[in-house]
Amino acid sequence: MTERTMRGLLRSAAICVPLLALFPSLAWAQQPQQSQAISADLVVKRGADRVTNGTIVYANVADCGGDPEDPDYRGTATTQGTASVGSIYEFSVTYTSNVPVVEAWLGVGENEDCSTVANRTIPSANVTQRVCTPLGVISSNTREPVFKIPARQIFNQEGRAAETFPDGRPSWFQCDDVSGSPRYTVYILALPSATQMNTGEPVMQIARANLRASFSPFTRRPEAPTDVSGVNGENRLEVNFKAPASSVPLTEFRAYFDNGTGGSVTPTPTPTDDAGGAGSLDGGLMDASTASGGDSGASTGGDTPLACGSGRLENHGVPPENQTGIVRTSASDSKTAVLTDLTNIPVGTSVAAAAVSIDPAGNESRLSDAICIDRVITNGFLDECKAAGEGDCGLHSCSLDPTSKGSLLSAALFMLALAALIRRRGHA
Amino acid sequence: MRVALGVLFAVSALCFASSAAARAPDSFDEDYHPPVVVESDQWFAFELRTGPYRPGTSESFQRVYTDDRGWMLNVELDITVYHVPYVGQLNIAGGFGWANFKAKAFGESGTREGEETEMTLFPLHALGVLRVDALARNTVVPITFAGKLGYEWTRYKLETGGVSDGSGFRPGLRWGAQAAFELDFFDRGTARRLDEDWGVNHNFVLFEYYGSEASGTGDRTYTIGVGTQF
Repeated sequence: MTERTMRGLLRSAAICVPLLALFPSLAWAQQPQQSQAISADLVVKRGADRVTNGTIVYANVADCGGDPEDPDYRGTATTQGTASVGSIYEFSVTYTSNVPVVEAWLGVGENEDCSTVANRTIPSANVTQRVCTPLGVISSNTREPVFKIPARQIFNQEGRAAETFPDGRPSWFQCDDVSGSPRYTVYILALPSATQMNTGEPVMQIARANLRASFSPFTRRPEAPTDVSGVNGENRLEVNFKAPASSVPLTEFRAYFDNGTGGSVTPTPTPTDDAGGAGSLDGGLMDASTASGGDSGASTGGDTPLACGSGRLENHGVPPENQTGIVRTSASDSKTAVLTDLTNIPVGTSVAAAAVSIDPAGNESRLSDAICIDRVITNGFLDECKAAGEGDCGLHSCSLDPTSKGSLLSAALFMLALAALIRRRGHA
Repeated sequence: MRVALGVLFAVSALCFASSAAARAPDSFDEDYHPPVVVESDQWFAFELRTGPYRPGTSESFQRVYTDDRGWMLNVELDITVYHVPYVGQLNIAGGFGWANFKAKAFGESGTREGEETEMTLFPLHALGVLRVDALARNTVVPITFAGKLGYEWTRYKLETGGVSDGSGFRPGLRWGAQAAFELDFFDRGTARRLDEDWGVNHNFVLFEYYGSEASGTGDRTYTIGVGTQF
């Protein structure tokens, strides 16, 4: 190597080294390394609905294999098996640059941390069960991978069914009462290459690129609203109620109105055994009120159906799917649901009404006390004027109704003209 | 000791010497400082008022809304068109208001039901205003007067159970007589600074007796409020 060549190399190094120091990402861009600085956002949806962008999402009883029509969510909810109903959870990630491989893993409980290599590794050739469960892999070197995972694959652990379980755990269906403590965590991990899939290989050490969504299933029905009362009317029917004391957040209330003509669905009365309290529930999923030892509501009517005209709603029954009218109201609003579409409710008839509360997972409480509300003729101010022989109390006679817009316009023009006059005087 | 006495004497002499420079004025004229007159534009006035209101003269209103006298809220903006020498200002004024009356509707049996029947008024008015402030400008009595005359258009809305029973406009004569107490009286220095810094000439509290002659929505009543001239 000549002296001239050496000098050229040194000059090149003198130029390139500072440049590389200034732009380290250029040097690392070609080959993902453990210190690659990418970040990502995770969006979780349940079906078409965005659940949350945080760490906690909620699972409803259907996702957990339970039967939403079951008055107490009893039945299959705590048995191992395949849920026939449930949602699709969609995990959408947006990285700041392409990632060769993205994997989804499931950890159950607090001890199954899938961000550790050990928990993703099959221990030995004889033991195929590992701590965490692989849910899926996307190896298309994408920046925006999307995982669509059936709820039952998360909650019923279908992923484990293909593997053996040397520890002999009797059931992996743990979708019972864990409200408030996330039980299931889906980890979205970025990997450097496809050759390392599913083998417990080290994950790229990119703290912000490894994402998790924790699920906190609610498998108890929330408490039903209390102190239900109704307001009769001609143009609107109101149900007023109070929010129940609840250990889980409530997101919505819903009032059902039934005059007997609106659709199917007054459910067949189902005898329940609330008197037995928690002991009668066979360890299954339960109504929150019965779990605490019986009904705490004000109703003394038990589950007696309340008939109003031809409509009927059960006290504390399962919420019907379809009624004459359903009114939703946000949990932050005043606890009043107003039915204004009275097309199918003739004046002079009665409507049965009751309210339910709804938790973040969409679980409905049992019905509140049902009440009867009457659609009656009401007389407003003008009606009273006419009834008293005062005509329209001076309101419509000589009214400017037909030309009201013109009247308003003329007033506006008058004001405008005066303003112009003042402006002119000001300039003068 | 002699040094100390000397210092004390010197200090005392200085004190007496300084006070000796002040003396009482020889005459009243010498002590009088005429007020600084600052020319300040005054072309507008704004009033915010509220008071009881019972529209119309029907007995049905009394039966339905019983003792509801609403609260008629009103705002008004006056624009001066002519400064009348030694009297005050001749203004034109525009304003609007709001009042709402609400009660349970009657059922067929004559008893109150849960549904509510409402009457809402939005009066708009255009007035000529003669504001007389000669007393406040030329004496120590901080009271001004105003006479108002013009026209009012009141938009009314009737609803029962959230469903409209009717709406429209009711026109009619509008008049008013106002007395106002200027707050400058309490602290003329602050009032002057308000004028210099913000262009606010006077602030006042007011009492006004007024009438709206629109049929069905009119009333003769009083209102109280605050106002400012700028």
